[in-house]
Amino acid sequence: MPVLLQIQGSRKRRPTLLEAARLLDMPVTQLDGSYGVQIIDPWQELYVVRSMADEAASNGVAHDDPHIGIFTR
Amino acid sequence: MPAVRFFATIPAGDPRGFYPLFSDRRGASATLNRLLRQLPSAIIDTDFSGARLRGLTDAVPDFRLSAGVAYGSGDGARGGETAAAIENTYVIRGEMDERDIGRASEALEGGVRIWADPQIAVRRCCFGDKPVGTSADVRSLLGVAALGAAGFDGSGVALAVVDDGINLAHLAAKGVSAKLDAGRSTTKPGHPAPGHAPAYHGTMCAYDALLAAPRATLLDIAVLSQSPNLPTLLSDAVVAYQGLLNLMLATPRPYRSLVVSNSWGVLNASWDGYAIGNPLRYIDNPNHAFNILVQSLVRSGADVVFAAGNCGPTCPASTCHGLGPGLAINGANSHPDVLTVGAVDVTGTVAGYSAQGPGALSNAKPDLLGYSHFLGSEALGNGVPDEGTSAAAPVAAGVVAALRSKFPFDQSLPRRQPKQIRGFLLAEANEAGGMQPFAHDVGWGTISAGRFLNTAATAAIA
Repeated sequence: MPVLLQIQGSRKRRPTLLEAARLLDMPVTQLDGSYGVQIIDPWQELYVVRSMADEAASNGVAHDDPHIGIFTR
Repeated sequence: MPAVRFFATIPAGDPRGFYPLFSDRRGASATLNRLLRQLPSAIIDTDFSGARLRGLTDAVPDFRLSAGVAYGSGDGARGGETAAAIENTYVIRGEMDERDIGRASEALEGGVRIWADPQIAVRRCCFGDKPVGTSADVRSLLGVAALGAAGFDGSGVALAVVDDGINLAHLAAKGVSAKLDAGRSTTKPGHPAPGHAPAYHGTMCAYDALLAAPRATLLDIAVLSQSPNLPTLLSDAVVAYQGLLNLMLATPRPYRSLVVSNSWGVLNASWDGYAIGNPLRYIDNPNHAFNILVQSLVRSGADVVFAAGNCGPTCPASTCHGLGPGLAINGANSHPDVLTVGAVDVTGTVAGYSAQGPGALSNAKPDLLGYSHFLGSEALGNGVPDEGTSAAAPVAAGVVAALRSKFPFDQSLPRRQPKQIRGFLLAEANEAGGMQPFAHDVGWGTISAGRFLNTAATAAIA
């Protein structure tokens, strides 16, 4: 299962994936390059990246990435 | 032996003829004793009728079983009762063991007849039930004609439908001339262009959102799959919300107001792969990244509306596993900053599938009810109602958009913040429903636009 890894920015701009990997102290190859870096709180400069590596959850603030679906019968 | 409830109809040629049933006032009369001998397990419910009977010295008219109330409709099941006979028929009720059913179905002495007395309740609509009313009823209940005439029509408001995509051709075939901002809409790579998805759930949501806000501009945010078996991840919603957040933070904003309608969520507890208390968990964790993002979007000025979900207690959706009380409304659907919408039909009956609170992130959920289970878009199939809280949420989102067309978001006006708009709508629902206290099945009441044209009522957000 993928996880979302949260990082704290500090430069009033979106970090690159490489910078995110450095902040997370993990190889950039463990991050989902197609997903990129997404902002979740522009005021606190909080971002997330996605990783398929389970062990990545221990590298920082991690969040589950559950399935979602439309509400049908 | 299980007990069954029954009521007995007892003909009495003369109204006074029934009185001897309890004639000695110390207990059952010979007439009643005859009945009890034939049904030895029967226990008469004296709270229902005996209390009145014991006090009788003459027949009491209102105790008569009047034609049309019970079996006087002429169905003839036991056939042949004349109006006169019915007028002289009285009723008592009680319980008996199942073993006496056979005897009860036979002719009893004195013309006494025994009938099943099942529990009755308001019928709540469930999936598979026929539509209750039409979209015209919804428009009428919301007062759309008057709202539109006064400019509460969604003009200038972006209405994002975060779903499985919108089919404009289907909407047009239903007489809906929808305006779509394709350039600011998003679809997954390889999926149909905005406005061209196969007609299904998202098209239903768009149709329902436009009921109260026909001049709103749709944003087709097509991130969900049309099948629960094809996985969509919450991280996909993060990307979609990112686009909406950028829209609100742009200078200048392309739309003064943005209303976001969401009829999706975590359908099954097992989809959240982490145990209660695990910091990675989503459905009951306010610090999850997506819940933070929802909070950011609301802070930016967007009005976010979520369906409560279809895990209601009467007839939950087939997908509802492990989402019992406290988790039926979960994740962002239960976020305190969003408007969480349950479902009610146009007769005012709560849908049996409408999820009840408390919410996982906020106790007082759902916030209110929106109309559902009406014949509307038929995007789910010919004759199939716009159903579920999936329909209720966009109906409510349309009302928000209608309101925003006259009271747009303005960063410099605290009374135009989403929190104030949400509070206003909850108060309006509560006012329209007679100021009933909050309840976890209906929230604060059913969404209402009844006082949008009342300047005194809207002063708090003007």
